[in-house]
Amino acid sequence: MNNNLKNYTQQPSPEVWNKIQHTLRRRTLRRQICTAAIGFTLVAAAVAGVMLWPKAEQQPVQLTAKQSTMPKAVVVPEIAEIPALPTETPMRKNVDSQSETVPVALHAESSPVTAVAPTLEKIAQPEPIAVVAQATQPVAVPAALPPVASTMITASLAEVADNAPATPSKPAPAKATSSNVSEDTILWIPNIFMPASDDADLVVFRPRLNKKDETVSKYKMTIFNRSGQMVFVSNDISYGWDGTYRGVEQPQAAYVYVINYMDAKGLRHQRKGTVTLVR
Amino acid sequence: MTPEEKYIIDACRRNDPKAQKRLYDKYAPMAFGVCLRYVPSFDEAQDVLQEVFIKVFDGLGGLRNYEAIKAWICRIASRAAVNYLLALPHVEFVDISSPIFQDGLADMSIPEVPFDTDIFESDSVLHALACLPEKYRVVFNMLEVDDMSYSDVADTLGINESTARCYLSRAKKMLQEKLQETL
Repeated sequence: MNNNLKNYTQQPSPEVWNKIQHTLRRRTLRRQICTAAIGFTLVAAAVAGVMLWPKAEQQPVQLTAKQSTMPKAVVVPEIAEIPALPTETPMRKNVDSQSETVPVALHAESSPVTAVAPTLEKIAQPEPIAVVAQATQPVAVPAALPPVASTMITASLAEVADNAPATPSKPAPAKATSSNVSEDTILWIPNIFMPASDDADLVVFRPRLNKKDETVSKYKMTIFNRSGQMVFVSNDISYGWDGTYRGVEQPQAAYVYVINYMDAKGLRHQRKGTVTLVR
Repeated sequence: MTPEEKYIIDACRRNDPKAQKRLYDKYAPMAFGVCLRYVPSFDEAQDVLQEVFIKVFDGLGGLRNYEAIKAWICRIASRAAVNYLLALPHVEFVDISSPIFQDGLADMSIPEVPFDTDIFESDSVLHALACLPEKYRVVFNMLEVDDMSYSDVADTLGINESTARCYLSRAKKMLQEKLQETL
């Protein structure tokens, strides 16, 4: 029963074997690299272990010494600066205006100080000098201040720690205005087209302007097929894809389009998506 | 199984490219036939076929019984094709208890008619299969052509057995109608 179907055979196109071969080859190569890398690290670790063995006993002492000095080195300059910056409440603006010239890492440390500064001033009014002096030894701060103040300080110190690594990874805010994809209603892009259709609107794939009076400039549409090959590119919005590549009709499938353009306000837009070619 | 074929399989286990090519040449048409039964689009079936042979060459080391390699590759192909279809966003198997199923077709009284596709041309059967919705095609292929058990099908697709039965009867009905149109 159903033997014809069970034994149905069909010759695939030779490209498939090329792809398989490519994948297999890459995989064996990767495996070789991996084994080589693991071997290398093992050897290196062994060598390093042998070389550092005599020094290893002295190492921990130095390390603890470093650890105890580390927080001091970070905290001291910030809190020592506080008396120098008492009235600058809108510090953020300053920070932003300076950000083009001064390295970011500095501001990561100095900007949270604004949060610290008022609290510290209020709390430390009776003995400001004592606080600053004691603040140089981070362990001693909670003891000298009332419990609430100590938690606030530790909280703001935690902010310092949190903000410091985060800030350098942020991109510069100047670029943020140049691309705005969400509120884009200038172009209407169909998701299907049918070269064999009688309907002239369906024959070629091209985006349409939603309003007649809209204009776009620097328009570029590229279309890729399933294997990532570029099958069509156009710089004219009225020139669309008819489903052929080098004169060969492309198969029915989903194709990826990327459309870049600039609107009348000079904002760049990019639209990506898939369009289905129906035969 | 001839000694030569055994030799080829052994060489494939040692990642010998020539042997891999010979193994591919021998079994690719069969595996591609399986893929095409599940995934009618030629391009997509080729994608699945590629995945199948990567899996074959990966898993060849675990193959004990050399005689069973054909069935083994077939099974890998059908499983890969089913997985491919299940990953498609619009393919969703609904259990029979769900309210979506409460349309006129859901009666379980459809008798299990002996339905043999051998009297038709393979190509026309494949064409009719391609016209079926994915879920019916999958169930029909797994149960009728690949002779899997209801429990296996139910496990793979995440439905219960009575649902699989219902899908199969619907698939058969639709397939019969399609094929009678072509006659």
